[in-house]
Amino acid sequence: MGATMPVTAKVRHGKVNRRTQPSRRAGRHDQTRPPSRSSQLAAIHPNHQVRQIQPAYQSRLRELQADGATDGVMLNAASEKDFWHFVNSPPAAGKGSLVLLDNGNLRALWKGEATGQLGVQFLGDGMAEYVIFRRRPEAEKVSQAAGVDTLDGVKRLINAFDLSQLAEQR
Amino acid sequence: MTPELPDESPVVRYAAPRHIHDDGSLDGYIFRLRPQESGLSVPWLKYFSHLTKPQQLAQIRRLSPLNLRRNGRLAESSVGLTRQELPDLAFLSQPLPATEQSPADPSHREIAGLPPGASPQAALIGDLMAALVQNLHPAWGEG
Repeated sequence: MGATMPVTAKVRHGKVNRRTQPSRRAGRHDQTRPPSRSSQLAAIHPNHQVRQIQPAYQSRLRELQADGATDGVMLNAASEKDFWHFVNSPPAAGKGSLVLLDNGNLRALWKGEATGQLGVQFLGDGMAEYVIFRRRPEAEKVSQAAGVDTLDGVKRLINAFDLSQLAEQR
Repeated sequence: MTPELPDESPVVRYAAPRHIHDDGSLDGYIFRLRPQESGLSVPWLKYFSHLTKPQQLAQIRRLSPLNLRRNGRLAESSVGLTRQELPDLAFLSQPLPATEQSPADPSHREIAGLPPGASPQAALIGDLMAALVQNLHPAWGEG
């Protein structure tokens, strides 16, 4: 069972590709080294970062599925679907680290030494269990929060806890 | 009354490969209770106080009833540090009797006082406990 990418995202990225493709004629006479295509895309399209990390996620998912099969744990398709939905849009577009739980659900973790961490278990049906640790330079203690919410609700929490930088970093 | 472990005691918890993150750290899920569990299994290294640390770990591996995987890890945590951060937890002596599948394990201890594993509170405590892990050892022997 392979990881899937929403069709809408492919279409959106396709448009960006065509717009930013330099003409062959212009490139032939250019004496300076042009910025890489990757950096051009990243500069104009924030979702380019998502597409760049998708192969890494897909590779990790294959690894987890193989590990799970050894332990008799099957990846929950509803959890995987929610995971892709969550990471294919801001503010969770940065690369998180994935594990496969005994119940077949995926759990992703975003960590930042200075900011804290965000853990999200994808429960399926658009719901997620979250754990947030938030460090603030002015506070001695780390703020903690945990609960179950919709995927959109968790995204609102990321903004409320000012963790979007953590979730977006690669 | 079951005696509690002293603060300076290290305990270990097995982490399967799929519970280990890209950076080598453990997911807090390994510190959550599974259904029907009332306590978290944590072998106590210092039970084998007459042995060296590598020998203690070898004993833990030998006596474990779990199917330890080559890429798995044994996560070592300090009882005192864990109790300091999570004072509601208790480390209780629960030696395991021999079964047809595995030998008796006199070093077996249980962490009591954890919330049900499927709750968000368990997720929070699990992530806190993962952050308190002091050392990681291979689940298979090093030689």
